[in-house]
Amino acid sequence: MDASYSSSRPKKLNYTSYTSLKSVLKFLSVKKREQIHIHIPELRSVNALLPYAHEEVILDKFEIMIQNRSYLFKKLAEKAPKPEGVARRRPEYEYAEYNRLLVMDLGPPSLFDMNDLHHLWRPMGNQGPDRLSFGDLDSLEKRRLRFRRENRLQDSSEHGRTGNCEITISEEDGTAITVTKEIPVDIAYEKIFDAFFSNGSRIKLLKVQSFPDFLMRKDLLTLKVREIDCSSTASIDILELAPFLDHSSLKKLTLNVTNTNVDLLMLPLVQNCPVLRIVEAGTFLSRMLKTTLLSALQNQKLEIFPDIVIIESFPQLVQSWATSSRPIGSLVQVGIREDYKEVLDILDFLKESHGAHPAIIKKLENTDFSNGLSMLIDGDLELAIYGGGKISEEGLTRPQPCKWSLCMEVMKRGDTIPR
Amino acid sequence: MPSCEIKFDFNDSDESVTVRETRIILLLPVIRRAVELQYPDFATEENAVIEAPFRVPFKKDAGVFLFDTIARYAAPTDDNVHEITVEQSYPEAGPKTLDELKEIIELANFWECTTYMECIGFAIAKKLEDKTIEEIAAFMGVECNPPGNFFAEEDGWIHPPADAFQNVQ
Repeated sequence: MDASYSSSRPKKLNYTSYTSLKSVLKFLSVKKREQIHIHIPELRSVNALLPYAHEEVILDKFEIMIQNRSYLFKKLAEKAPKPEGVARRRPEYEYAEYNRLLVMDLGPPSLFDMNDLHHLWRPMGNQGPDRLSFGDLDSLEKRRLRFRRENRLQDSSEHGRTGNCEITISEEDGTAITVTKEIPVDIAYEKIFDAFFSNGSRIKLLKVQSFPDFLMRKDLLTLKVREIDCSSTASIDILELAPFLDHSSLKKLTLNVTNTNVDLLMLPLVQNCPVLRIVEAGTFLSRMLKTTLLSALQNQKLEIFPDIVIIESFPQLVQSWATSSRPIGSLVQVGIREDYKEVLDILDFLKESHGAHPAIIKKLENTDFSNGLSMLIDGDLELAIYGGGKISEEGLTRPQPCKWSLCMEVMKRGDTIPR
Repeated sequence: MPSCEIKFDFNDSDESVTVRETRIILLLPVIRRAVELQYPDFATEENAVIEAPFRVPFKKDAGVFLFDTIARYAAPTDDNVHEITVEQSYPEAGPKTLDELKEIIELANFWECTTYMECIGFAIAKKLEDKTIEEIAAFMGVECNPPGNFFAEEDGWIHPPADAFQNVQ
């Protein structure tokens, strides 16, 4: 049984060294560190130095969810200027003539209201950038820098600019509080973001539903994200997010691939990610285009939740893999939405046309799936094709109704037994 | 094969602890620098004997634990910090109390074993997760504001308070 810490111990012996503090704080949960930040002023500076390690973050245009707490930002309309009362009546015996003259010549008193005049000249509110068109990361970075430069000029000219926003903070248990701040909504969002993220912050799972505008003009910081799920949007946000990512940290990426964003598959960030999930939004790509693009992918593991076309393209994909160098362990899993019979048809076709021979996959010996095929590859490798179980839908924003999967894996020769 | 004989006197015991494994001494930067004054090629020296014991202002149990585990413990990395547990990676640290772990990490700090400190820090952090904020403050040796300061009315935030922004660099 772990004894409680004794608080009666003499203070001098209770000293905790700075290095020890850092070693302990960096491994505490965000929730605990947050409470430390609030309640223990002496630890705030060291706490702020250590980037947080977040479990799950959901990013939206006007909302962010961190550690199951939601911050929702809403822009409030400018306060209408208070109506001016009637100009104070002045003693007639002193200013009667002058007062009459002003009123008659210059019109209604409201023209003297400086708020109205200022309002007429108030600059247009900040508008987000146009939707980025496709291009490589270099052109994206140039665009980002230009946009940031323009907005900085605007910011400086708007020194002390005012705005109003409403922030609703909702906790996991359903409690919520709404506060109103006299700062622009983008600045409020950025303040919250800065409190939780800094250079080196780690995120286990980042779900991107929309890209917030303030990030477009933010100085770059490097986030170490382990998994990104962009499948609930057109996935173009990965382009805008890429400059903020430490690419070597990314282990899994989920993209929604459609006709309009298929070039995303060519990005280095996508190509170098060990596990790539492709969720198709139901738009058909031509069979040849799809096979060409999928064949070009070098990811260690591909998980594909397709429409029917990919099944028809599978033999071409097999052929492409059989004739290119892939490391042992490379794997494609294709979700099968319909009857397993289609898998059997594909396997038969591969036997007849591509020289695949029936084989038992050793590592599947404890499963019921025995429709294995093997194709020899140059060197000491072979390509195993087999029916598999359900692809894991863990983490997918919208799970796909795939009952089976069709797998292709590069194995060392000898990992299959001919049947 | 390199070997050594180095003695340590801890402040709660009259009995010296002798370390004869060079690889352990090499993991204690302060001790290694001291020994290398007498044995410049200490890393490859056979039977390097230091006559006078090193005086250590910490408890003997902490020292013995450190000697037993420092060569085997690997610090958490960004890649595996989500997966590892104290039970799997630092099994000997699990049964230790917070007081004992604090003694160990401060001894590691005294000897500049920063990588090892991350391992012990990880174990301490997992134990502190279940503690109240007051208990954490007591463990750290710092003051703790009462919960009444949770809501800072002047800035309207509930958490984190506005001064969290001012402190973040």
